[in-house]
Amino acid sequence: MPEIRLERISKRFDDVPVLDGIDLVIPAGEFIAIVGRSGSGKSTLLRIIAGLEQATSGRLQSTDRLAVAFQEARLMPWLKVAENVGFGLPAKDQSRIVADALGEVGLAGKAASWPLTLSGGQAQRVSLARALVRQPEVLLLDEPFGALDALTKLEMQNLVGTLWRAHGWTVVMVTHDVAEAVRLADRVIVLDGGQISESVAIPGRGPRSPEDGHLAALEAQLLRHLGVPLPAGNAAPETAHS
Amino acid sequence: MTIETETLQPTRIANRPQRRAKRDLSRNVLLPWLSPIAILLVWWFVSAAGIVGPKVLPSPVLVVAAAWELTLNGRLPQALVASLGRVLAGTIIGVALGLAAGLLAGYYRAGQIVVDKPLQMLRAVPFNALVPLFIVAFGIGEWMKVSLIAVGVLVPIYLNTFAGVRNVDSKLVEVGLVYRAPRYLIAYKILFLGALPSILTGLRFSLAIAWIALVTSETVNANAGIGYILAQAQRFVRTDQVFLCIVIYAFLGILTDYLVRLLEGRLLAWRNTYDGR
Repeated sequence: MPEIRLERISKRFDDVPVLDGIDLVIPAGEFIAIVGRSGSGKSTLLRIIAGLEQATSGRLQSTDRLAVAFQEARLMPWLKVAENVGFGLPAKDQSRIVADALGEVGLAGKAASWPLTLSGGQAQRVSLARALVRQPEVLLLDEPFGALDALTKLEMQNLVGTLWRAHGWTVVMVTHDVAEAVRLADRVIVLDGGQISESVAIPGRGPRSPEDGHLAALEAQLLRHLGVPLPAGNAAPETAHS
Repeated sequence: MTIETETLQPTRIANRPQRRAKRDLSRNVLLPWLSPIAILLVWWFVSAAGIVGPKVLPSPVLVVAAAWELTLNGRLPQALVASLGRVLAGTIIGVALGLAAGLLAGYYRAGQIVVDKPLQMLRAVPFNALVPLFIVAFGIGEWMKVSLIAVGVLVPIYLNTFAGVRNVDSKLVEVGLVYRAPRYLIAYKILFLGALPSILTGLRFSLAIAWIALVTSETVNANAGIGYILAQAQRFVRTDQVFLCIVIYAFLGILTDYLVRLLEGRLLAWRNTYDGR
């Protein structure tokens, strides 16, 4: 399984620089989270890796076998759930593969449903199943849980973490939720003004339990990097610097 | 007493769907016909009371009698077959061409450049202005009539297909691109199916135009068809037959509209739309 390698990747939109010389190597099987404020260029970075956007300059080494889950589930409302999941797959064995994937995301009974009848969390699961059936090497997640309620979000984080462990994908997740990044990722990259301003390794493997005491400290550390002022009483102890 | 209410409740719930089905039947099937029936009754009353003479407004009874007469001598069935055949042929050709042009212009910017302006110009031309041209090109036979209907049908189908395709969320097309779906799959499963609500609206407009084009073409030179009966009836001042033809046009128009609605119900079952309250 190949790694993803970005060398001096830059992107400008009408002379406005969005990404400015990104160097990043993501080893095969790593779960990396990219956090940053709105406009930091994190979504653009993901779209470049996905091949949906061309970098203005720099070199990208990626793979064809990648799957993307977006913030909106992006299901075709006029195709039933099973057809959405199997979209573009060869007909051979399609229904079995689709049924397996829907089972894996816990929606075995929804194959014949219309997408507009699903809840936000269910739609997002279908979108995950659509990624699963392609047996990708790389899974790209663009703020995949941003539109979900807090409880559904936790469930989905567990699901993604569990699926990642089972399938051994390389995962690149863009998020503005630092807690989510810390729960799931091996490494969290902070993007600021189109550049990587910080890289923090998270010990252990995701999905981590919210009970894990280290997480709060790491979260606080990342929030400080992002320039979020924290209340004085909550100053985190100086641990776990990478 | 509590036991009694507990046994009552389930039957009441079980009855509800049936009652609702009955109410839906009267509301959805019968209610829309109330105003046409009222119009018929007013028509009947006006002619029966002699307010307007039978040469201007024949009573509904006379119109039914005319239908009976024309059915017995075989002219009406023959006319219906001829007219329906023309509309069917013209519609099939027009829909096929309009769909192809709309998908081409919708999918490819280059297709839009080639196809859009000429069709926008065609749209600006009232199709009956094309009759002299079509007579020169196709003669006065069936081809002229079918082509005129096809051109009338083509324009709304094209416009609505094009608009429908361009209205499909580009984020869905992006999904197709990310998963490296072949072009025909993006064209069919994303763009065509996504444009289908709009295309079916276009089809309803088209069919309305098809009937108008039929009348125009059949009054030019025909020896069969509803328009032929209409022209003959006008010549011999058979107002009852004129009314019959108008009523037949009205019913055929409603029938085709109903068929498209059936099609919409089947093809657009995925929609979660507001149905009025």
